[in-house]
Amino acid sequence: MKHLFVSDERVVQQHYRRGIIFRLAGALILFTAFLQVPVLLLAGFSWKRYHDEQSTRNDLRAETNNLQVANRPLNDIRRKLDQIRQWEPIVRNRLPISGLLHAIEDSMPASAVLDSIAIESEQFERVPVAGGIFRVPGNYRLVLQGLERSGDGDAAQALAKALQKCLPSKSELVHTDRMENRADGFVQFSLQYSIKPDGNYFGLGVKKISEPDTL
Amino acid sequence: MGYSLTHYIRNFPLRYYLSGGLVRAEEPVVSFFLAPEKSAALLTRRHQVIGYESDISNLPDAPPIAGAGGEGLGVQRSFSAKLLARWRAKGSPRFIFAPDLASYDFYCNVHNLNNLRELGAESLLEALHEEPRQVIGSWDEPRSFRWAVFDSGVEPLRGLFDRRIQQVLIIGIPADYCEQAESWSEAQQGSLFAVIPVAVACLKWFCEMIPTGHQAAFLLLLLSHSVVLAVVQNQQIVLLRQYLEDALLAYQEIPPLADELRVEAHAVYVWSAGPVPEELARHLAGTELAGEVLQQINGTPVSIRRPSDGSITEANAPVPHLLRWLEGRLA
Repeated sequence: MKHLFVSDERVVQQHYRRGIIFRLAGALILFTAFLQVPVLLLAGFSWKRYHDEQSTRNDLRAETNNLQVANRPLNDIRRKLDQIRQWEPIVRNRLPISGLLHAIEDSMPASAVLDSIAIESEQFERVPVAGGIFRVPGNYRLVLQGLERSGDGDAAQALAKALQKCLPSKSELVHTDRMENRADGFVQFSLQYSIKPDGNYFGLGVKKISEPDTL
Repeated sequence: MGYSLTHYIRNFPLRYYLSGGLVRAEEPVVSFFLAPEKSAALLTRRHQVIGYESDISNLPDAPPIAGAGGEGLGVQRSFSAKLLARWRAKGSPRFIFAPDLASYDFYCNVHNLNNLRELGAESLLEALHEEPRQVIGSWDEPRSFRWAVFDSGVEPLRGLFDRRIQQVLIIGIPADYCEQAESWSEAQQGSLFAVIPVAVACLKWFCEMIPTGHQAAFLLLLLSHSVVLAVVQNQQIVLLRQYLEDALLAYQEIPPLADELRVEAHAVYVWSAGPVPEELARHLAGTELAGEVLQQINGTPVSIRRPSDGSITEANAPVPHLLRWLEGRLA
């Protein structure tokens, strides 16, 4: 009389619940499922990380595309900048002679007069730029010859001291010469400088143009 | 039955397994006696009676009674959860339904094999399932019924009928009531063991427990809606009748029936869930299956051991005796 008037479907479901074979199978299934939990978690995390990386990669790709699009109009500017940058050693190594003359004029003591000023460029370097090759001097030699009144102190030394402050930083006084007293009471002197151009000529009185002229 | 791996996986009882059912050895069994006026529940665990509720019909979410419309009250805790908590039992309960069905909800009759075309129990059940009129000529019930076939000793029949069998017992109850019972059991997170009409349970109990021998025993079952009269000889039911009239009229049918069956000596037994009607009790020349008689037949009274304090109370009424016997027979 067991299961009398109970449908087969319900009886089967009861066996699934209470039958020893089905319980063992259920335990096995649950145990196996439990073992899969770490694997599933790992797979889940890996999948999430893969998605995140994919998303980041897509973002970066999109950003790269944007930058490439934005970069395209800059190529012409970059090319022009490169051309300008080629001129840098030429511009840097150009010594402003007017500034140098002005500095000599300012440094001249009242008890001395100049006979001659000789400026020579040397140590040339070949700089290729668009349109040709320029020879750019790597050093300037400045030779000053003059007269100072004897007995009025060392005017040549005062001139050398004042001029040294105006010249570019790596410039140096390489030779000093002083003759004997002449009969008219004057003494001839000679100063020789080696001037290293470094692009900084503010000491020579060159001023920064705050607002460039619009030609 | 349709066992398959796919079906098992599809109906995998995950919730039951995870709630401890996977390792639970013993689960409580709740046996219900379901009559319109009075319903009772007997709770057992490991074949020990641990609780008996003599009237559960008015409780919310009570098990369905045939013919009575379910109220479908929204309750927070299910009926069986409350019942188990009250008697301090745990687990997923198994239910045995013993409904006291009205005559139109219950078909039970002895059929002579000579009058049946079918040669086996399965083919007979198939015929009953297809069209009951193929087997029962006077059948006029439009509702669908579930059927069972027993031999005269109320043992289920399978396969081809044995030549020694002369009669079979055909029992049918409405399919919608069975489905109602199944759904209710499912809603209670339990499972349904069986739906055994009270009359069938009593007949089986009588055939098993009372040694009638060659002497004919007339068993009167006083049910709520009808009276069933069974003639039992050699633990076999030889005749079954159902009366819609009162019990005394059925009782008065016994002497002419005994003459008709040519029975020289006979005994009369009366089983009733409630007290036997006074008029019948006055005229009854037989044994009322109640109280001390039941205790003698079953050996012991129904001992209810309360799990809370271990105290034991005894019950000798027919219903707890019947429910305890059913539980012992099925679980």
